[in-house]
Amino acid sequence: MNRLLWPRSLSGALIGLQVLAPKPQTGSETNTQQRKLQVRVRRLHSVCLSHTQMDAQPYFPVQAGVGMEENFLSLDDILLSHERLPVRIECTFPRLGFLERSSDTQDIVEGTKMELPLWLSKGLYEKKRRVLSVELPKVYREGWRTVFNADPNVVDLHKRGPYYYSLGSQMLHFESPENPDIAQTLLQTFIGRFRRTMDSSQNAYNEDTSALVERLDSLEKGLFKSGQSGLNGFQSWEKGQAGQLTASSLVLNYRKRKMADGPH
Amino acid sequence: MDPAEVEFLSEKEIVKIIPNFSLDKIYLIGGDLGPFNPGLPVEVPVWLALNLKQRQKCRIVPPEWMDVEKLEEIRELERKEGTFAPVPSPYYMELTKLLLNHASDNIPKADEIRTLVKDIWDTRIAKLRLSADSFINQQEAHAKLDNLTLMEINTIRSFFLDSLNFMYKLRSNMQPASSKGKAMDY
Repeated sequence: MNRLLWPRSLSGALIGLQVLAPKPQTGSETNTQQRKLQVRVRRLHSVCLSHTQMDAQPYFPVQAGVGMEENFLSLDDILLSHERLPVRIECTFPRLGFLERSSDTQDIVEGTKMELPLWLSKGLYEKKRRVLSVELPKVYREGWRTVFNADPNVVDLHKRGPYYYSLGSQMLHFESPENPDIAQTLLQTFIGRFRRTMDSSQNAYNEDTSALVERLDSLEKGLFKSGQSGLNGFQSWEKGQAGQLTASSLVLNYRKRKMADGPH
Repeated sequence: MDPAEVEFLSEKEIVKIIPNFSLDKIYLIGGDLGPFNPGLPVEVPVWLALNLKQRQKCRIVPPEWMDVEKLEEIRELERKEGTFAPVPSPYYMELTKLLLNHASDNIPKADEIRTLVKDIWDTRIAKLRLSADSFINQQEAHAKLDNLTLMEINTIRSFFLDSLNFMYKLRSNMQPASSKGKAMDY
């Protein structure tokens, strides 16, 4: 399992760091490896940080694809591809038993139930040759769909997701009779929650917004942020701050990074 | 778009000033201005009016609509109507702010005007949000919004466009066959 979930992105690098961390003094090789991974983590970290900033950005962040297609360069979509899906193996995987820790057999036998990341399930899934079948995660099943249809506002989508909409759209890649219902529920949920996202993003000025965003899906958080930038822009104009020149956040961050890197 | 850019656009509006100096007609790319004679009202763009005012070379005559009674009427109309009522100027918010900040001594009852305009703005923004919500709720494809000003559109633009984009994608999920051929922009 460990190996199947190995790198490709930030979470991969973090896992790698964890694996290497327990035995730091075994030799210089591990240390350099660890060092490399640390560098990678820090780089990804800085990418993530600049992703979250509201104003000037060093590049144009790519938004999540949301629909059936992922955006290759979107960080959200990369993280999304690591979401685990419950799958059932439909044909024997010879000599891959070591990946499945719960059994001691040499092969992964037909009918095994395990969890695979989305990117791998998508790769292995084929309509004609049944390699594996994907089961729906709980949030997309009948029971939860009823909840979403009743009142989407009460659900904590961050806890259930945080990629509720994106993952739901990705689930449409796997054939299931429930697909039309899932698509319908996704849309209805978004529409039902729209008003609250809009009102909170347009009214929360100069206050702590963490309570407002903690229940939002990652996609809704992006919306919240763009709503806030509209509001903040208008308010700072009204207070007459728009005419003042300020240092670009790029310059400020560069100075900070220089200071942080100084002692090394 | 930045609110400052909207403000910049609003500075092309024409106001009347009463200069206290004399100058011949001046010829600019945007049109001819003047001639300026002390005591004789002349029409100039806002940016020039503010500049002259800051150098105490003129007195600004407030636009006709910048008047407590007229604004009260507009406010009542705005509250009564379900749709957006016509505004006195496409840049009413920006002009109010510019003129009141720089030339409040030339405008009678400046404070009242400030509150009235803010009231009108708040009512309209609330309406805008309401109509955006019903637009999303009914899954409409297009809407006609008359009498909206640039500044009002500007506050909600990025949020609304992003939401519509997401909604479009979630909607195209429902017809998987038709969404296949569409390539992404990136």
